[in-house]
Amino acid sequence: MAQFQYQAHDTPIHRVHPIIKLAFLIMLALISGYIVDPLWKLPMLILVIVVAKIARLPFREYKGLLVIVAVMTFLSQFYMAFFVVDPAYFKVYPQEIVSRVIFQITPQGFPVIGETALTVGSFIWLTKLPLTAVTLLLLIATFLHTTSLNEIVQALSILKAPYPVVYITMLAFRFTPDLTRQMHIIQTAQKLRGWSVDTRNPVKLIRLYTPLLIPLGKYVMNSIDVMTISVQNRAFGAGPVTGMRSVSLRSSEKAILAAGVVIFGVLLYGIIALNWGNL
Amino acid sequence: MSIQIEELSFAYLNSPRQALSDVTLTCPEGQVTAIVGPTGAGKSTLLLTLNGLVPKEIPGRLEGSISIDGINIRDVPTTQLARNVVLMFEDPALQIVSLTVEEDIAFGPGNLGLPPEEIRKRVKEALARMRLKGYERRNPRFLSGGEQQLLALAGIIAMQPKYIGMDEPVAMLDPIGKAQVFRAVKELKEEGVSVIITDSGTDIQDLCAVADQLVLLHKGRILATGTPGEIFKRRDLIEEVGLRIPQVTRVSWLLESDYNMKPAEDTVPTTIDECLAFVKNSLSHVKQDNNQYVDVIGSCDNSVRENGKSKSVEGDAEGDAAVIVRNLWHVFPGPPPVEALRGIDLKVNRGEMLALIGQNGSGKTTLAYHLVGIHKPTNPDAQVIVDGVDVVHAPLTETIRHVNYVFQNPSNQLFCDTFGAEVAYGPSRLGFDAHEIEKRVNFALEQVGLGAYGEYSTFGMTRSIQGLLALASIISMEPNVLIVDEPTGGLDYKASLRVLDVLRKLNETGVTVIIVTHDMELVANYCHRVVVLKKGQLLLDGSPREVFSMPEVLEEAMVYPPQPTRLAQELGHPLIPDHVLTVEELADAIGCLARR
Repeated sequence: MAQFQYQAHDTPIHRVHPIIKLAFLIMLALISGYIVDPLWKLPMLILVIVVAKIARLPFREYKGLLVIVAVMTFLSQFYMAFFVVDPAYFKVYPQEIVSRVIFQITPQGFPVIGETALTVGSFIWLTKLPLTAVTLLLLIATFLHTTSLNEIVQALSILKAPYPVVYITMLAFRFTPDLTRQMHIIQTAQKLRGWSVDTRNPVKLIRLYTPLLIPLGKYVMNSIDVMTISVQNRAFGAGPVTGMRSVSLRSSEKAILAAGVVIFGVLLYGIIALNWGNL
Repeated sequence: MSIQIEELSFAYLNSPRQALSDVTLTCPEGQVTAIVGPTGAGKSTLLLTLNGLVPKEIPGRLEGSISIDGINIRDVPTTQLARNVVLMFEDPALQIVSLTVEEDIAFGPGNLGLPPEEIRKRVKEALARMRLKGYERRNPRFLSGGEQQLLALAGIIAMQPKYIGMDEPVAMLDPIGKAQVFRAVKELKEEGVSVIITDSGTDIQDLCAVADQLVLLHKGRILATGTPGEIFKRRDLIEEVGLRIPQVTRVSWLLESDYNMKPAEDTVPTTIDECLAFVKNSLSHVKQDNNQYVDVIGSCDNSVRENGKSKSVEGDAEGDAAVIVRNLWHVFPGPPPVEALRGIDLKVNRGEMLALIGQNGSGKTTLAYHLVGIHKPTNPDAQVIVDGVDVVHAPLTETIRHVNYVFQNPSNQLFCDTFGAEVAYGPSRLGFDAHEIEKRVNFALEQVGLGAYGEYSTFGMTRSIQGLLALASIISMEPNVLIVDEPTGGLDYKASLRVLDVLRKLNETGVTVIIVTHDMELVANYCHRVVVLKKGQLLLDGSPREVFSMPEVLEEAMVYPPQPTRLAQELGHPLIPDHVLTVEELADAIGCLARR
């Protein structure tokens, strides 16, 4: 399993400067968060999929996770959608379309909860979160798939990020895959001592997970200790960091970054002032 | 040019005990200095002082001085010292920070702020020197343990330090990995790099072959400094400390004490070659007579000393079998798919103590996981029956009443506040009543020699106590078949012997014990039977004597017999059988011959 891990390939996205990748990740994530209209979100998702394809992201490994995230986010908002029936919520879409009822649950003036129904508008609203989640997940996966830890450290160093930020980022990147593996080993060890999940009581569940969480906690603490010593031993924090590739942005890269920032600024203005991407 | 340590003392913050006391030592340039001593001797602490990590990052009270090439390290920050002194730690996985091999090697030089072209040059050189060429884009996680440690070393070499400290660098590696790292150490030494290696005795046999200077550390104090031969000459001192020493050295000790065969005045052999020369010289007067071959071991007064392994366990009928495995395949889905087990057929008799040996990746752990039901066969016609239970189809909750597994790293399973609670967890999950649980807890703690510890807190346990407690926590579930993964891994000699004695006692009570190990001394001294795996298939199956007398076949699996067997085989003397297993057997065979 290599989810959310760097994989060395020679693709155009891998070759992009880490600062540009970081900047585009942040800008696209913000835009994706602000936009609510699926007609805007879908092209964005398609763009991210195309970029991920170019970067040779192993979609097969993310398939299950993407489905889970899409379904969970859809279901988590499902009951709320029945309350989004007032056409006044919608500023851009025509009122006669968004108010069209797909099925009604309670009529207008129903005691306490009022009218609840699934309308075309509430259905459009319901698609917002799954599309955002899937787009963000693919964005982050593509960034991590194409940017090595050294490049991230280098980028943060150029951006003059404080030492603790760089270090914590590094630890998080380094340990995510290890933690999954270690959790599996601990779970196996405890299953052999008879551990199993045999209750749904949340309080008992917390106690039940103690045999997993304590060894995992000890592992994390020990690993962080060893890792801290280990990286300092390799001169981490000695001064400005360099890498196998040049740290300075070339003119073309600066132009791409500038163009990206301008497009981001325009989109942000459109979203705030002109209702772009709104419902 | 050297590392000079003068009257160094150190105590960890809030610890009343001195971790180091009045240590004075010189580590000369271009030499390998081995710091040996049992667990808790202060070896790692001493190493961590060399680049200032102690006390700058790990606080405590430090007295005395350390100077590197004349510069007092107290005046230099750790990150700057990393230009001259870099350390390598026991667990390779925890010192690899990047997700590709070349990026990881570049990490150190990048932190030193070197220009990209210089970093690329150093990465290329380090890859070549550590024989990792072609691995540039590989994820380090998928390298073998030995390769990971070589990668860690490549990352250090790329920083071009003059001094490299290695803290138990091969403790977690298989024989190939150990050989790879020690070969690299030899090459570094030839290039003029000073290497300081710590070891608790586990790998003393390999270490003696490369070490110029050996430092015996015990309870924070240096007890002796000299060549390995000079140090191990002092038998009383070594036995008092309880350090594991090369088996060939023990042979020479026995030859001296029991047969009055004295090696040189001030030294003893510490490698096979040295011992070979000593023995050949001692036997030069013996007339060779092929007809007496068979009688040599048996005719001696002290011959074939009882060491517990002579018991043979017969049992051909399937009813006697504790384990029956038929046509077991296990294919890990890829990409690419990996055939970890390829049609294994195996029968283990009740009451046997069996060793599963082979290189990492040979399928030992996968097979052991199948025996306990963690893995399920990937072919429908496989059979795995353990203690009468069809493990393939039985639920895990049923299987673990019959067979269980002790992991190499005890901290994966220990979580309770007290020893008693830890050992009681398994039986309580199996649904036994309080009286039965108490009985089992007492029995299990007694078995591992921790009978008085029931109410003690588990906080701050040593690694060896953790190992014994983990073992007790499985013994309390009273499995008839017990699988133990590397029982001596990470333990010093005394602790190893203690764990092995527990396993032997258990075996004597009728428990079938299966040990997954790389420790051939353990196999020769404790096991009735050895199964050698290679690439998911059974390569050899027989008694240790039978298996170790086939060195050519073993070499296919990159497994080497224990030192006494290898020494006998290299000696090639017609009156010394090439299937001797233990130090005592070899000493007796040589001693008897010499008396003729």
